[in-house]
Amino acid sequence: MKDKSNHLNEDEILFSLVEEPDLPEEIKSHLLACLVCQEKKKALMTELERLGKMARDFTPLPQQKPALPFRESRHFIFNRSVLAAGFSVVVIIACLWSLRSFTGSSKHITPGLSPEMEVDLYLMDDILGESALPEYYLDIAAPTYSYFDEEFLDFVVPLGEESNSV
Amino acid sequence: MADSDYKVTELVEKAKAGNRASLGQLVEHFHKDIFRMVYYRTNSQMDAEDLTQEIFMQMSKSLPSLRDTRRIRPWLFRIALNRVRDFHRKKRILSFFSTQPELDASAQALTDNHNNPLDNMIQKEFQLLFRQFTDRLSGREREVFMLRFVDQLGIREIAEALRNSESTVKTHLYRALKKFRRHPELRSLLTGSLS
Repeated sequence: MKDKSNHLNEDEILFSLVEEPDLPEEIKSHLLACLVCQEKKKALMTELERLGKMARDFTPLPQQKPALPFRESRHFIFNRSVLAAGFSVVVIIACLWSLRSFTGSSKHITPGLSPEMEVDLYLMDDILGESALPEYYLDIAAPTYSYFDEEFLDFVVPLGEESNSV
Repeated sequence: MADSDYKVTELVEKAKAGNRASLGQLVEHFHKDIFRMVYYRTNSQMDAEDLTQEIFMQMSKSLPSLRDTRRIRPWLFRIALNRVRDFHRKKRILSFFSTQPELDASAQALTDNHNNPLDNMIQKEFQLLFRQFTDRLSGREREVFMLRFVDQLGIREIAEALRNSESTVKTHLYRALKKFRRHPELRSLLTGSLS
C-alpha cells in the first residue's frame, strides 16, 4: 500500500484520469489522502479542460443552419406500402383467375359466370365437336374429310399422273 | 438523467414519430457540436458545412432505426465519424488522380475569429501547437483524445461512437495523454493562458 510519502508517479496520475471510476483501491485511497497527488491530478485535468475549451472557442461559427429534407411521416409510408401490397395481391389474383378461365374446360363452369359467357362456352364446345351441323343437315352436306389435306392428296394422286391418265 | 438529457430524449421520441418541429430542435441542439467535430477533422469550414448538412440529412433518415433514444449523442457522432471517414477516402482518391497539387487544407483552416489582435495571436499559436500535438498521435489516439476533451464525450459514449470496447478506448486515451504530457510547448501555452 502506498503511503503519503510515496507519491503516485506520472503514469499513475494519468491512469487515474483515464480509469476515473474503476481505479484500483490502492491508488484510490492514496489519492483521497494525498493532497500533493490530488493537486497534480487536478492540474493536469485543468490543462486538458483548458485545451478542450480553447479548441471549442476557436472553432469558427457555422455560416448556415442545416436544411432538413421533407420527411414523409411513418404513417404515410405505412399506407403506401399497404397499398402496394394490396395492389400486388389483386394483380396476382387477377392473373390466377385469367389462367384458370383459359385452361379450365367448359364442363366445369363456375356458377358465377354470366349467362352470355355460358352460352358462348357451349357454342365453342359444339364447334369444336365432331359434328357441328345439326343432324338433318348432315344428309345434304358432303362429308368432310378434314384429315385429308391438299398435301396428302398430292402425295396419293400426284398431279403428273392425273394429267397422264386423262 | 439530467434535465437537458431528458429533454433531448423526449425530442428524439417525437422526431422519431415524425414531428418535424422536434427534429428541427434536435438539429439546433447538436448543430454546433457536430460542426466543430467535423471542422477539426477536415480543417476546412466549407467542407465542414457541407458534411454537417449531410450528417443531419442522414440523421433524419436513420432516426427511426435508433433503438435506444438516450444514446442519440454517440449515435450521431458515429454517423459524423463515418461521414468524415468517407470524405477523407474520397479526397485521397481524388488527390491520387489529380495532376494539380492539392491545396494545403490547414491554410484555409486557420481563420481569425476575433477582432482582438492578442486573441488572434493566441488562437494561431494554439492551433499551430495543437496541430503539432495531434500529428504526433496515431489515428485512434487522436480520435479518442479529440472525442474525450474537445467533443466532451464520456468513455462509454466514445466506445459506442467508435464501436470499440471501453478498455480499448481507455488504452488509446492513456497513450494519447502520455504524448500530451511530453508536449511542453502546448502545455505551457495552456498554463500560461490560465494565469
